[in-house]
Amino acid sequence: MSSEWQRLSPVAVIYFAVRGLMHLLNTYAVVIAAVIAASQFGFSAQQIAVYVVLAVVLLLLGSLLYYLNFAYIQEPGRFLIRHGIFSKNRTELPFGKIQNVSVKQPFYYRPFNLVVLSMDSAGSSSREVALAALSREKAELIQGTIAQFNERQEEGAAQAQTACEGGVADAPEPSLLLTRSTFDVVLHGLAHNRAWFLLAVATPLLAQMDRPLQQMVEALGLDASDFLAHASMLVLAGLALLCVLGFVFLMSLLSVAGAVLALADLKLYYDRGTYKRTSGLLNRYETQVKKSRVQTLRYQQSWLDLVAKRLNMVLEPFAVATVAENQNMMQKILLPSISHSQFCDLARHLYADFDFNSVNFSGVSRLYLLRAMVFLVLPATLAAAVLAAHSDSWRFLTPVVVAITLAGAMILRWRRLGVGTGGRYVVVRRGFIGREYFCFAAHKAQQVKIRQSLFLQRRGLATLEIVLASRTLTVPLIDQAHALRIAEQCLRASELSKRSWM
Amino acid sequence: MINCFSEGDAQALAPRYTWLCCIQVALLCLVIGVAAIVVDAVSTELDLHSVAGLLWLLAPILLLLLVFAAVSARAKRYSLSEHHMSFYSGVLFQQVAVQPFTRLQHIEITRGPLERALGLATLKLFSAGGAQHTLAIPGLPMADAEQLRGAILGSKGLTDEQ
Repeated sequence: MSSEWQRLSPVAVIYFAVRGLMHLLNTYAVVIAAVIAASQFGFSAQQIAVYVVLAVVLLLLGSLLYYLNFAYIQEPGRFLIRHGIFSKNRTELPFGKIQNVSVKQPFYYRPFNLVVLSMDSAGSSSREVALAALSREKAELIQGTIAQFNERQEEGAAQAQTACEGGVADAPEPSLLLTRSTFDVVLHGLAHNRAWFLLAVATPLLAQMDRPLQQMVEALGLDASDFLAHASMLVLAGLALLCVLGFVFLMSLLSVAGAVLALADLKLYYDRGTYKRTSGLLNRYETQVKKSRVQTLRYQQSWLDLVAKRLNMVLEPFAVATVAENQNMMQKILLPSISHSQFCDLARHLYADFDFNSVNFSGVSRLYLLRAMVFLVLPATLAAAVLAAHSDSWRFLTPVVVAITLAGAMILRWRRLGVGTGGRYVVVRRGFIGREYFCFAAHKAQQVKIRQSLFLQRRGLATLEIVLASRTLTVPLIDQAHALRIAEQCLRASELSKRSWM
Repeated sequence: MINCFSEGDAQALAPRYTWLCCIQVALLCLVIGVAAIVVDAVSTELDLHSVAGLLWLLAPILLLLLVFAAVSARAKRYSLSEHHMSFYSGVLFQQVAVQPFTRLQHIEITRGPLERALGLATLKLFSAGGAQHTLAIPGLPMADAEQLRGAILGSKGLTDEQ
């Protein structure tokens, strides 16, 4: 712990370069623009190569500059970090503000046995700070120092809390709570397709494929245009279906590959009040969330999950609004493709007196459907009718199809909407074909809102909104008295409990 | 009225706040009106008839907006209790937001130029729920705003947490 500015190891330049590239690729607009530009201007392979080399050189130069300007000091109780090429930023990160510390090992650091230590802070001006290319021992030392510091600070509160929770006694050894097999991860990849954004990038490329495809078909001695002109509707429909299925299959493969890369060999540990998840095939990721910082438990089940009788569980700490989307993903702990009983067990591990199966849910008023009909289905049907007015064959079919689809969708949503309480916990339910539940302890509520139009007032209905640090949960059109009861339960729990919501 | 959290003793905002809202609406309409006239003048010849026509069109809309602004301003009320602050708003769509003090991150008093001119201020209560869920109580005389802030900071709700 020197009191001088320390630079990172030079190998950190690789990390900054990769991170810069990731940021660039994440702005899909840039990638799409680049691809479209490349296809429109008809660059030769040589020209493209020159531009790519130029881009790589610029990236490396930028990363080198960033590396030279990056330095940190570790003081007792806080980090001081100096970074930035043009804007000289000084970030002060007190240990108490660090919400999440994770240690990642990208595959390009494995030969050197180096890691990246990521820390992010809670609060209104939150930033993620990453110290790259530290040795594993140093990273764990820093992690331990931060953990010790925070433990000492929260000793009193933590004792009171574990006494109240009356649940799992903190074991001296980290306990393994959950593992996921490759099959589970593949299921998750199939059920949650992460590859759709590639569609946007692929479209201009597909447009280019037109001529080479034609040439291929001609080379095979088939006369495509003749075939298509004489083929029956059935054959054409069959071909179209085949293309769509092929595309979906390709997307699914990509999604499964992505899931396996990120979630392979997943393990969930519980160690001294903190949940830790390690996963990853090439890059090894580790995310930690303190048990006390979990705001909501999310039970997420898509329609494909429903078929496989699986669900995803997410432990959500605060939402850090300013951090980029995929960095946020790493802060929540996602447990993919688990069973219902595993969810209940893990929920009970988090909330000792919470029994998910015994929560009584009440649904949402039928007025929700009426509202949907008046404000969505009817206008959409009318619009469809107007648009289809000139086409003879579709004139009646289109609005009917639109009406049935939208009405059906609204009915499915209405069936799923609801709210329930179980002891000190509140669960909000929603979904479409699959189901989604958000479970939270009443005392975690940050703010409570009740909305009621004059129309609803006469019918004794209201919309309840509970603001948590991780998200806002809205339950529309429930019985007014029920809404008040839940709101008052949350308020009373927040106000009277001596517990910190963190 | 939503009859929960005992709205009976809720405080209305300062009467000057109604004026503030009306002035804001009027200013907005003025800006839009001027912009419309400029666009009209630039696209065709500036013609007194079209300007008059535009004004005739805007006047009833302006009136409607002013009435609505005044009614909404009068409908806003707040209520301070030992443990929380409630804020009531809305005319056709009524809403009550309750902020418990134990979940306060920090308090701010802000004053825009119009507010300063009218001697008013807005009290903002921040929680960890995010920027869009800041409980903002506008239309408070400056002294009241400071008194409320002091009362909240010294309230039982906060001191108990410490």
